[in-house]
Amino acid sequence: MSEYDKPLPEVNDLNRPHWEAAKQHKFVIQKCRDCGHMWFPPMTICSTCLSQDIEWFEPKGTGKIHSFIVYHQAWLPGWLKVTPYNVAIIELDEGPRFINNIVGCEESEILVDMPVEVTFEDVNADVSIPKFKPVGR
Amino acid sequence: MALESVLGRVNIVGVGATRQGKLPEYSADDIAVLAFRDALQDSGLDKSEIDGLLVQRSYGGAGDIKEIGHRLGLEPVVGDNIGHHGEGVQKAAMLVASGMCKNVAIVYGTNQRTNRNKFGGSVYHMGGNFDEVYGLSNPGATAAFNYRRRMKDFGATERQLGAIAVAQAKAAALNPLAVYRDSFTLDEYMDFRYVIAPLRIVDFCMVSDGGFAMIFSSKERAKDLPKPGPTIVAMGAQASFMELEAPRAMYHPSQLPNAKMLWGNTDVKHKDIDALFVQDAYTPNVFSALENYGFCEFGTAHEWAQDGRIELGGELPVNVHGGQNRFSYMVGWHNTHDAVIQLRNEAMERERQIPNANTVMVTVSTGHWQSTWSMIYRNDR
Repeated sequence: MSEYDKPLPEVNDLNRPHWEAAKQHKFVIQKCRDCGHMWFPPMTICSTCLSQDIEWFEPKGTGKIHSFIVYHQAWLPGWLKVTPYNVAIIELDEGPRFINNIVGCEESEILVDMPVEVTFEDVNADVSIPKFKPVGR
Repeated sequence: MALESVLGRVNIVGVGATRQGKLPEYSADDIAVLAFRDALQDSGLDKSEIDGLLVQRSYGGAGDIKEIGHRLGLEPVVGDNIGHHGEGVQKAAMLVASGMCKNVAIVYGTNQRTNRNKFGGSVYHMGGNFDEVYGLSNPGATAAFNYRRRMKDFGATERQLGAIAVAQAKAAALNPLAVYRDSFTLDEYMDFRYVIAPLRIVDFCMVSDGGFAMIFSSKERAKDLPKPGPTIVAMGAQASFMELEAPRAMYHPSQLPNAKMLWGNTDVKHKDIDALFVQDAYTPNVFSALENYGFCEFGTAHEWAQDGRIELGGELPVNVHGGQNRFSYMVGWHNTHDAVIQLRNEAMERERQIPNANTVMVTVSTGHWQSTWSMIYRNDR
């Protein structure tokens, strides 16, 4: 495996539970214990009810592609040599939307609203990055 | 009706512009000062009469109010930085209408092209570096997501999107201030390279140097000035921070409540609008604005805007300055500037002048799926 040269996660106190879980091939996001609001990426306080009583939990890991785009030009180190590459907005079955990449199929096979599920890319001995692939691939 | 203390009471009495494109001989603050000087001269006011100054910061930390205020030699009642052009227009109008200030100048100058602003950077407020980990960069990504969703929801095509770039290039070819003055056909549009598919290079704003300034005075004061200018007859605004959490996140959700405020507080109707200026950092923004502000039904703008309908001479000329992909990247400032030029019948080359332009609408946004402002300016002859 050639050395991974795209930006690696900058782990901090806020996002550490996410990246630690990813290492165990678990995809976790945050949820408010008071109002049930779910979101990702992490924040310290619920933006719906402003409660600090929040927890990490593992959603089903399935959802749909809300939209996707294909970069033919790149601004970030490591990404240039893999153009064209995709970036997608994932909408989890539980509701939250966030940015990710679609793997396990050709760019030309990606469709809006396609069902996807989480998978993990082990980029080095210490880091695994959650990605999404078409369901069943 | 709300806003009656402001609407119909404030005029734009002066506008100023620098050359656009590449101005390596000037700093961003020089450009801001020169734009102000041009607007002041245009207004016929004496500098000592400017008692309000609102300045938008620009790339690299330029445009600090203390620096610009000092360089303009002003001691105004109010001197503040603002975040955006729309905020500048509306705050200037409120300052004048309230009587707190008599003549308010709003100013912007940038030399981000000379200073090579790359517009990479993160797109969402994701915390940490999630954007970078997943390869997301350049704010144009948001418009590409928007158009991809439109293609699925409404069957829009890439070729239909080309109508906007084609119309704006045609207009820019007639605008002596425009940076790019070569036009192209729809077939030629399809041959341009993708940057972030489905968007092509000509769907993106350029990066350019330049500056704009405007001066606002009361309608009463304006009567004694050489160019009394148009009056602000309608305004709407809506801040938006939900980003991807907004249910209609793909379709510029803040514009709907903005439009409700705009049209709900004026007698002006859609059919009265002689020209529309949309902040079009990325061409799909024009389709969203046409729908959200009620010029056509939701989900139809990509069809509605075809066959010259939004071009000069069409039913609703849009961005007749050439837009930010052909005229200059001036984050909304170019919209009010050209609205006033059109309303004064000053469009420098005759084919670019909308005949008898009397009512012009301007929309401004912070980009992404964020806050928006809208204004209608009308001649009060």
